[in-house]
Amino acid sequence: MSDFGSFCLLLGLVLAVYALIAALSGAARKQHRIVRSAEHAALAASVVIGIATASMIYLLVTGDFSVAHVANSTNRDLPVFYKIAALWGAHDGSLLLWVFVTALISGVVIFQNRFRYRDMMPYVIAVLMLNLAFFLILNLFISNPFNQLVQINADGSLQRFVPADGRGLNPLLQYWAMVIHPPILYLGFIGFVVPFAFAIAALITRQLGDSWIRTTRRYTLVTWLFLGAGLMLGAKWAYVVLGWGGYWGWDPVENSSLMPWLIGTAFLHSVIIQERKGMLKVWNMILVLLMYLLGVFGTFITRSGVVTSVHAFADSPLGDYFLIYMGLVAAAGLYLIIDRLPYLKSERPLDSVLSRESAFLFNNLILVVSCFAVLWGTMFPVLSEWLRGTKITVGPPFFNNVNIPIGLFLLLLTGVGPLFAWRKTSVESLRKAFFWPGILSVAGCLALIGFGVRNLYVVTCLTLCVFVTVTIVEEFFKATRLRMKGSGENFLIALVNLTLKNKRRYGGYIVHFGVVLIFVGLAGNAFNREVSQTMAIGDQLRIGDYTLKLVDYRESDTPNYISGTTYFEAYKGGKLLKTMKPEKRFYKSGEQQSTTEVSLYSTPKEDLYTVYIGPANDGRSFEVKAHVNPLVFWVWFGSAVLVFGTLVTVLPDRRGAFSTPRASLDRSPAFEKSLKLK
Amino acid sequence: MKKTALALLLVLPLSLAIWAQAPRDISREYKEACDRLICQCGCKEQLSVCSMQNCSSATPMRAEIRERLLKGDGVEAIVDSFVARYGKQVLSAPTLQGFDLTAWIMPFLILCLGTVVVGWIVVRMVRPSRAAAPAPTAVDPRVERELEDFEEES
Repeated sequence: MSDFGSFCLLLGLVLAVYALIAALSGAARKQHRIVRSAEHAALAASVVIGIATASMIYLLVTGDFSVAHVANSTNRDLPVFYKIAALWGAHDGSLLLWVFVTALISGVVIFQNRFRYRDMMPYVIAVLMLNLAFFLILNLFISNPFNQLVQINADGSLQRFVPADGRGLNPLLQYWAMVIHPPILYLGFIGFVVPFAFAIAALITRQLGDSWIRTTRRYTLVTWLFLGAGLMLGAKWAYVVLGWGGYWGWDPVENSSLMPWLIGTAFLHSVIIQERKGMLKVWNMILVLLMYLLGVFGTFITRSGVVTSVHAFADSPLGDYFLIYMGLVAAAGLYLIIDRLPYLKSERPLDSVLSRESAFLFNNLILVVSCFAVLWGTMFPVLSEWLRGTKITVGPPFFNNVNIPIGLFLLLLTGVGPLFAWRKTSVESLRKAFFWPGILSVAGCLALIGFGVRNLYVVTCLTLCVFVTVTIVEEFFKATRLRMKGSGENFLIALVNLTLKNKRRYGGYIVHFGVVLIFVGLAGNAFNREVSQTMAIGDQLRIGDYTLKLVDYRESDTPNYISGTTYFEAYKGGKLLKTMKPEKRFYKSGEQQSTTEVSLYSTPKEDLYTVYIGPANDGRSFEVKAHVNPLVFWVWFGSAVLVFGTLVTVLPDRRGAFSTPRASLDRSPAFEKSLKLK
Repeated sequence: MKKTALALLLVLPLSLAIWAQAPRDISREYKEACDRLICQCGCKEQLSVCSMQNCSSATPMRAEIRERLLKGDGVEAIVDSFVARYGKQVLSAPTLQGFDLTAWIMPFLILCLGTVVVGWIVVRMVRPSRAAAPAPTAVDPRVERELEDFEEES
């Protein structure tokens, strides 16, 4: 089966290279049949890579320990659920998942657009296949998950080796969110290849009108959704599994996921300006190029070993290949952008400095600077060692101090943006627009100070949250009332119809509201409390308004791990709230790692978070840690609202989600050129 | 009056002495020191984050911080002593001196430069329209909204 898997990958590579050459050849000769052949080859490549992935899952589930990846990431007693997740438990398997997701996305895009963009699609196919071929080459020749274990005999000859059991899956990955987090995150990382492929195709064919950007925006939105959901699932995993009481540690790999998300956010805003005004064409091209490169950079960070991270695959030899590939892509992309500058001129000037267009430009600036700050902090230790030979650490204090002010400014713009009209806003209309948001946010600020909140960042953040919320509510309220007058619908129906009729705009506001809720949750960090204590049965621990009484301790033995569970009765004001059961697991396989399983009592106001660290040295007590983390609930709830808002935005319309206006489809390159160069 | 003043003179130093003897609440300083230092076991986490039980690095470092804070040492002195022992890599953030300072300055420098550039672009993009066409009048927000809806739906 392992040879079959390798063969499928090799066949996939041959098909991808054929599709790449055929697509370019078909475009050069204007032979539609050759392009069709490229499409079929690309789809076939997706299918055989799917079969290769399925064969690896089969090897994992059946426990074929002759295969190195299976022996390194599973063991006999691992539940089937986690045996499947072991596909991405080591870097060669995770690269196979990357290749599979790349092939899947490429196949879907080529199939969906088989009757559209006939001039651009050959180049789209070529870019998608180039990207696929690069990762396939790495997966086949550098990190092949189907490689078999061999041992070296005394005479120097090699002999196949099958261990009695595998080393098991990293215990930290044995959590439900970790089973879905990597595939979702990969969809987010890899999906940015689609806008990149369309951008390159548009540059090559000089079809730089609206059609490619409309399609690109939708794919970007879906990708952005997956990346955001992946980030949040990762944060949830860190919160519940790592046991340090937080959910975001500014780890280099976390940062590498955040960066393309930030640039994607910038693009989703600036693309609106291009669609409405024909402006920012060069800027959008640069953002698309950055999104793709940062997606590849994310996997470079994970696999190169240049930075230390809890997520990184330390033994990966792929760093240099990624650097060369990223360098070539960046050079080719920039060359095309510079060469096509005459076609990328703005169609219209700005009408006024005081306009929504200007607000969007500043929003883009803040998002890009925020991305730069994260990149700078992530790579600064490497830079410091390279330039000065000094090893330093850039951790959470740096990222918090730099990104909190930038984030607050971004939050302000989230609220201010909708108050500006398109084209031009008069000072009088601004005064009116700012009135209620201004009044209510000042009232909120005074109330916070009145309640004793003194932390400057927290007061600013929550005041801005009030401001943005009021602007969003006002937007919905005014437009709904207008619709009620016109249609006679009741408020609720008018609200729903308004949102569905203009999903992009009102879905966007829902996303903004989700962001506000996440900021509310982040503000709670300033009030986190924690207590560590060594406790015997019957002892009590006090933290905030809570009392935790240790009432029991039990051990259990499963085929996969041995666990010790402490039982705490959590009281507040003398009332029993919950019996909390933080647990410590010692896994039997491999390096016999241990993990903590925290126990939570979560309310919208705060989380009571308990961790059983382990038995104390006296042999009869237990080391425990308790945290009270205010407002964390709103981070998860806000994330759910953000996902809901994005889903509203990408809901298919009557023409179909990925349809494009007929007029834009029918434009020939010459017509586009004449339009743009007038 | 004199008696009261005398009593105060006696009681005040006594109470100050008792206050000085009372254990300080060091939780805030302890948290600050643990946040500023990195565990040296290889996990690369802050001392406040490393959750390994009996960690060979974090456990004695935390104990030393607690002990020195109780003795009256300040956070800066404690952090400096760890830097002297392990080098700058024990700090969780770059210092505000020398080359490290560029880590802090660069993002804000880029922000300032970016603001200037974007401001210049906005002004430059507005000027030709003013010269070429009469100044546009402010659009009624309601008309604007309906226009947007129309554009979105079309």
